[in-house]
Amino acid sequence: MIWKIAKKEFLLNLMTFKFALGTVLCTVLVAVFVPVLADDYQQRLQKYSQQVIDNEAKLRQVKAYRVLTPTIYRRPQVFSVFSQGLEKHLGDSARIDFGMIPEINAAPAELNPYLSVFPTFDVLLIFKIVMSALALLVAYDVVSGEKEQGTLGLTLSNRVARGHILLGKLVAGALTLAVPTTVAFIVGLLLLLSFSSIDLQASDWVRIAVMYIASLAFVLAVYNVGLLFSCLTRSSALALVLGLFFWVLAIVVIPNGSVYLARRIQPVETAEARDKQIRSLEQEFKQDLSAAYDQLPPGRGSEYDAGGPFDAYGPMGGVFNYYTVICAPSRVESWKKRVQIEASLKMKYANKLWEVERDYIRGLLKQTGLAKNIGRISPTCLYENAMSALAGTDLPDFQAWTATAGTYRDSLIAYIRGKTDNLRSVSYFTQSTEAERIEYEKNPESGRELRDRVRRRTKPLNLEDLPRFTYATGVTQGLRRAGTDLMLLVVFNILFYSLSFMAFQKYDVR
Amino acid sequence: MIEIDELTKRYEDGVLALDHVSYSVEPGEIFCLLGANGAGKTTTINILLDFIPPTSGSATINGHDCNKFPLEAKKYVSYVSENVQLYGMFTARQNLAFFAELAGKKGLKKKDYDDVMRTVGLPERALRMRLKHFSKGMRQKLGIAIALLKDPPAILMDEPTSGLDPTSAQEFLAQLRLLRERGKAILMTTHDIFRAKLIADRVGIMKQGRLVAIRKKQDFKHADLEEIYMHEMQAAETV
Amino acid sequence: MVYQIVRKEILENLMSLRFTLSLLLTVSLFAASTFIFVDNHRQQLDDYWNKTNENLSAFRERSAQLYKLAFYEQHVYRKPKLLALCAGGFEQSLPGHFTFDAFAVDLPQLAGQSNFTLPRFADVDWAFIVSLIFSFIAFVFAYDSICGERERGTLRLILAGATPRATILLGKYIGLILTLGIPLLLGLLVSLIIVVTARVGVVGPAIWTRILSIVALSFLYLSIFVFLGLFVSTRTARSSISMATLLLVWVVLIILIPSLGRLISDRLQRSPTAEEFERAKSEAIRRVDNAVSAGKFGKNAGRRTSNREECNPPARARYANAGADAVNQVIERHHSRMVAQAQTGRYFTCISPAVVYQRMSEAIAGTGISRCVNIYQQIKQYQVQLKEYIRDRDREDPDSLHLLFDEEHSVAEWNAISKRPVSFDTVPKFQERDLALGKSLQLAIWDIGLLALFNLVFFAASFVSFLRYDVR
Repeated sequence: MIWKIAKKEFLLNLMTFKFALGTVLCTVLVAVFVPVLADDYQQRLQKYSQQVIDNEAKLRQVKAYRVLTPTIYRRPQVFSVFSQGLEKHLGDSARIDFGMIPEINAAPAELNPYLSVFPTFDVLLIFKIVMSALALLVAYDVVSGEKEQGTLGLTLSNRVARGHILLGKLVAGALTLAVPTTVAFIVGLLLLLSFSSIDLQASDWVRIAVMYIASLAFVLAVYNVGLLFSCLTRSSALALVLGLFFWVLAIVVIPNGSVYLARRIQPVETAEARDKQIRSLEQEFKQDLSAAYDQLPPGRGSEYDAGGPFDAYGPMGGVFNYYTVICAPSRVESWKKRVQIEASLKMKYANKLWEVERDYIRGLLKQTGLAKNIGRISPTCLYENAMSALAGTDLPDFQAWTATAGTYRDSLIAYIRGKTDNLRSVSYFTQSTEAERIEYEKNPESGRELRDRVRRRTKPLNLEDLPRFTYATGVTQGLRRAGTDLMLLVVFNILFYSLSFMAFQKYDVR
Repeated sequence: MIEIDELTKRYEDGVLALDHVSYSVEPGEIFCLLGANGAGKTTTINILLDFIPPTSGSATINGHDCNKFPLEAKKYVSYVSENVQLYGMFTARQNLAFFAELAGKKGLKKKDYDDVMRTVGLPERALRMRLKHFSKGMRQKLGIAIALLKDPPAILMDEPTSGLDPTSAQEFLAQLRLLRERGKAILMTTHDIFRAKLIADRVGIMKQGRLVAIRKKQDFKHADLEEIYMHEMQAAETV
Repeated sequence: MVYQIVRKEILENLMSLRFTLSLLLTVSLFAASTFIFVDNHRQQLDDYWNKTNENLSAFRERSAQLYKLAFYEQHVYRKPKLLALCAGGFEQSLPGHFTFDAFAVDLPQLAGQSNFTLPRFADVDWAFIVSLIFSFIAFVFAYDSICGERERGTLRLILAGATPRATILLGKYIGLILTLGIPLLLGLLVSLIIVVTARVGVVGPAIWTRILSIVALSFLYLSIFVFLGLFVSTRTARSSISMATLLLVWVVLIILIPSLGRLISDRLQRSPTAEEFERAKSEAIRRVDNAVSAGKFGKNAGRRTSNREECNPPARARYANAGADAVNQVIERHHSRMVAQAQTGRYFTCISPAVVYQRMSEAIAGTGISRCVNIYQQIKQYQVQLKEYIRDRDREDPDSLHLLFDEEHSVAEWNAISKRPVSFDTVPKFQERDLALGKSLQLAIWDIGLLALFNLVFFAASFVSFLRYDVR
């Protein structure tokens, strides 16, 4: 019986204008915008690949371990096409060296702050808005409309329980809404795959499947709310009005309002306060460093401040990123002491800076968490959270990346220490041999010639056994993060369906 | 077949829609329930279909109480409502098929549909027409066709002739006679005294929730039903 | 005749559920957002005054020596405006912190509390409520104005009474506008009462005129949607089709098209990355360095020691100034490109009345991107003023070399600029000047024209369509 009612309802829905309009609009929008978004993704991917290649090339030019400070990059997520999340707002690169914990310098990548007047645009927006509007339009006259037509009474004059009728309508609604969802997904995927550089793994397909399910759950949730309104009122026009107000609340007011409220209720520490702390720490570092240097045997004037003619800069750039091509043997000891001091101080201050940053970010996250929780009363926010978690464009994924970057820094430091006998070997800061250094000390006037000879002789370090940075967005983590919101969506569905059920039992069909 | 026993209905706002009404409709009988608007005719049908519960008394169809065991009772009854809209985007055949399925009729073939259309006087090609192109009379006939397909022992009709032109109304009465011949118990509410006179076996006159008179066909063959009706209306007034 | 229709429309609307719901929704939104705004505004003002006074007192200290005034890095912040209640202009995410000294202006930075982990959403200000919520409500009221009456059969009755169709349309339009006006004006009133009683700022006549203009233009904006709703209502026979169409039109116009802005600006005008910016700066500096080696500025321009005899201060000055100018040009170019990119996005999304309205209310309220750009330009002008002042004071000092250039050490060592103290009261201080109302309106004139054009188009459309509407 349920299936018969569902089938009738489904066929009727397919013949309505609103269904046709909604499906066509959804499909057209997806067809127009997926290529644009995919192209944007492709460009970002190319930029990423180029940056990785450039980094590799630079690694092949490193001639001393002191200047080994690679930069790691964050690969753009392919599903940012579907759900952009925070991807364009968060950083995408981090420099790895002794003095900086990656979380700090992986700051937001956007240089143009004026672009913040525009909201994000992705396929999720189309689903959120158009599909939910369609769900509402299908649901609002499902019961009240039949009553007005007189067919509800006619149906109930038969041997069929009210519960079955409502279940049939639910199934029909789900099927009806599954049509545009599926079509949009298929069209979007096909267009996405038509791009040559886009290649989906098995894990990606799992993600898509769950995204599809999440979309269905969302659309059904809106349908259930519309169903409830239809079961509460005797006229479809009333049900429509109620539905529309709910829609504008859930889609527009609550998402914006939750962010607005959270910003006001839970203010964050100002960036200036944090910057002040950072600046004072940097001052402290400079003072500590120069105090420590003062205790060393005196050097050659500005030798400790900037590279002299016998030093050379590493390929990675940076003001103090240099090593020495050749120096006198007497200088070697002071160099050794100096790099030890430098390394330990840098690491100490890296940790201090990280603490300041961590506290700051913790404050930010509190605010974001509050906004998220306030927003959870709307199925739209639940859906968005789930989708961006599945796409890997949400904040926790970025945090996982920076955590991995931190681990990589540790392994890089361990590697360097390993290769240079815990920074005690000269290979840390020079490739000149003992003999060459003695020669330089004997004939200081031919210093430049010697320097050029050493420079021509030395080859870049063999870094084949250097661990490379790898990071992959885990599917299971993404699923786990999306889990709460998906579950809440299901609860939302069940809640509103049960309310509709109870309302329909008492519904006056006359 | 249809038993109404001391049926009473008082609404939440105090209105007494039915006041200890009792009568029965036997198989092969057409019982017309006459009365002004708001007299309680539609309320009776609503109770029989379990759309509202009675305050006291009982309504049974084929021995099954309509409110205690509604699903059982509905097995034996078919309903033709006053304003039959049906599903406008479906064809007549699709509408028939759907309601037949709901009624538990399986395996209906083209012949069955053609037969029923012929019985109610609709052309067979109307099976392929969408309901929204049907006139009121055609829709009424289709409503009866739906009832016929279910083929139950009892039929409830609510103001079936309202708004029909004389020819369609005549055709409708012919249908009713057919149904009576097949042994159906028909309860029909109406305020069309003219047609009631022509078709009813028994007539019940309701006023303000009470059944003030029941007359058999013989009783009003001679006397004018209208006179009886008016008399009852005014008599109750002076009480 | 019109009056009767208008009266009937208003009464009918007032008694409907949708009116109650709209009133509830809008008034609570206005009230809630204003409460939150007032609270926050107070705090932001405190913050602003603290930071500005800090800056000023440090500036004052520097007036002990004239040259230090030139090298003092001033921090100027954007003052929180009361009119941000009307149109916040996304100021939370826009730059609000400007650093500069007499020689160079940095790129503006984000100020205060800015949480980059939050998704960026609009502020719930008046502009949001009017452009999003009220346009939606306008559709909810207008969708069945014509086809609903037809379905009920009352349209035939009205037309049977020898009322010309134009009158009916006009009456419906006026009725709808007045109906919408009730929650709008009530909400605005509630909002204003909250602001005035909270005493967060002086609401002077200048502000009142701006508020009134925004209110008037809000009606112009909503009128577009009333006409559009009437138009669609006259194109369909059933009100459910009308609502479906209008809902989807609203979605596309108000939600989807504005979001395209980012995509369009990214495609049409790429903004340079951080690396490009740095590279451009290094390039500029390198060119100047090459010029130095070529001796373009004079002998020994590259030399700098504490011994003035070994160096050539005028040459050094030319070199330093050339360097500063080159970098300033890069910064200036960069900044204009960023602004242009944002504005291009907005130009192209002007098909959406919501974007037009947003831009227009920002112009009148004096907030948003144009304000940031304005402040930036005013800072440049102030710089010139400050330099003039320093030059004038410097002329009075016989010990100074009267060379004004961007290198603190050299200036200090060679007495290039006077080291005498000056009276702080005579020093020009930066004060942000608001645009006059006339100028603001001038900025907004194109947008107002666009809104009027939209009105005209949809008016004509609904007029023509209704004249041919099938009433049966």
